[in-house]
Amino acid sequence: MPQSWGKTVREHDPMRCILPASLLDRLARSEDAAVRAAALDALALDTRFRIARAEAAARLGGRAAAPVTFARIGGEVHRTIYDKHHSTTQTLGTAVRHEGQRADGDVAVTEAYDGLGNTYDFYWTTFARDSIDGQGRPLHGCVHFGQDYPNAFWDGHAMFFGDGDGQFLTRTTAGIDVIGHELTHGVTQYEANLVYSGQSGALNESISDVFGIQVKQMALGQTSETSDWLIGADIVGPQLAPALRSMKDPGHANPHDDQPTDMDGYRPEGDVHTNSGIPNRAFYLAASKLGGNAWDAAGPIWYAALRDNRLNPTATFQEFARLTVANAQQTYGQQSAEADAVTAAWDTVKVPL
Amino acid sequence: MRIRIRRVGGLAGNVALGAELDTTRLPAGEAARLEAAVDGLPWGAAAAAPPHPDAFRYEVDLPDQPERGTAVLQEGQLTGDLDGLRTHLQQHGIVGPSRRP
Repeated sequence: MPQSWGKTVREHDPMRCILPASLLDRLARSEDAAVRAAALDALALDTRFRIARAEAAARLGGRAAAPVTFARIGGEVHRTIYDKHHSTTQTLGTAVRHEGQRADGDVAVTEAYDGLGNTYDFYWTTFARDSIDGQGRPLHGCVHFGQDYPNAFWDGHAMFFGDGDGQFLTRTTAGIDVIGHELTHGVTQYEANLVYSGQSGALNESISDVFGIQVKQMALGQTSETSDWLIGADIVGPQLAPALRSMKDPGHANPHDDQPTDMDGYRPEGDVHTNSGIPNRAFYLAASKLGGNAWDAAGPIWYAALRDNRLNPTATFQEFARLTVANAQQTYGQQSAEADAVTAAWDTVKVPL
Repeated sequence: MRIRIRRVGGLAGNVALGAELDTTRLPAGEAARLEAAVDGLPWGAAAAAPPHPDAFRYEVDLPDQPERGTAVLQEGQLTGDLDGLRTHLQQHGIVGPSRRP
């Protein structure tokens, strides 16, 4: 890469760029009919891309920009599972299972593969969302991250699963809701891109719990009534049993859980996983009031709010709550049961609308 | 030197894991290296933004030197001579609420 006045500049690579619009414009005036037709075709395609990019940029604001594709139909997940062999480098590792291949006998590989599929299926069947970015992004899951590593995370590119320390957490691939939770961080990254601190950070966490629990409910055929509304029940060790968090009863998932149930217990300096109990409970209340599957109405309302142009990266609970009510009213009607349930849910957790 | 360390954040960020280490119980060379590494921590500095959601971070403080405040480290910073703190935490940590005591 050449240097210029102390700044690094990208070397021009004609193979990596398209003809500029000005050149296409000149070619479109060519006396050669074939050149003219080709240039006009290219200009038409160029215009489509530019409009699509502009629309995406306008909608996303400061959010991560997704690539724009036209030919993709969607509905087909593309998974690859990698074995980290206990390394903590955030690289992919050794590919051990590609899409369509049979299980190899490693339970972590199987669970990661299935969980990524459950999450893809949830977003596709419920929202016609084609993967994390809505554009069919391949899903990468990296198992056996670190030595007895008691955590799982989405790093912006791939999902990493620790095997757990046996006390705090066990094998993290075992939690369908956990996989849904982590991949939803990717969805949020491409949508509102909520800043990971304060109330927007707690909203970021809550949205991952909200869609993570729905992934689990759909995979297990659970309704709002039959779900336990627990996050991480399948991955906690004895020190955190029976679960990491309870959306139904924040603060009571395990003996150390300190999530507040409403704004009276909000802690300005609290961890994003602590104050997320408030919007978590609002979702539980709305979904339970409406009954049936959480993804029938409550889920789509929350999803619409997440994708709403008016949701800023630094959104507060109140701003997000107002968008859920606005989207419920717009979709189901001003006086609808759905709008009333959402309004009542936020009122119960004392987030003023 | 008494060193208190808490692991916060992570997927289970609504709880924390805490432990205390007394360097007088370590072999002399190991204690000296750890104390030097702890001396060089960013005491009182604002915590850096987490590298990604659900990342662990570590809060270190010295019970006998409260005036130094707290040093907040990202997971990738707890390496080298500081790695003993992570090992000690894993072996002797006690789970508690995420809020600071």
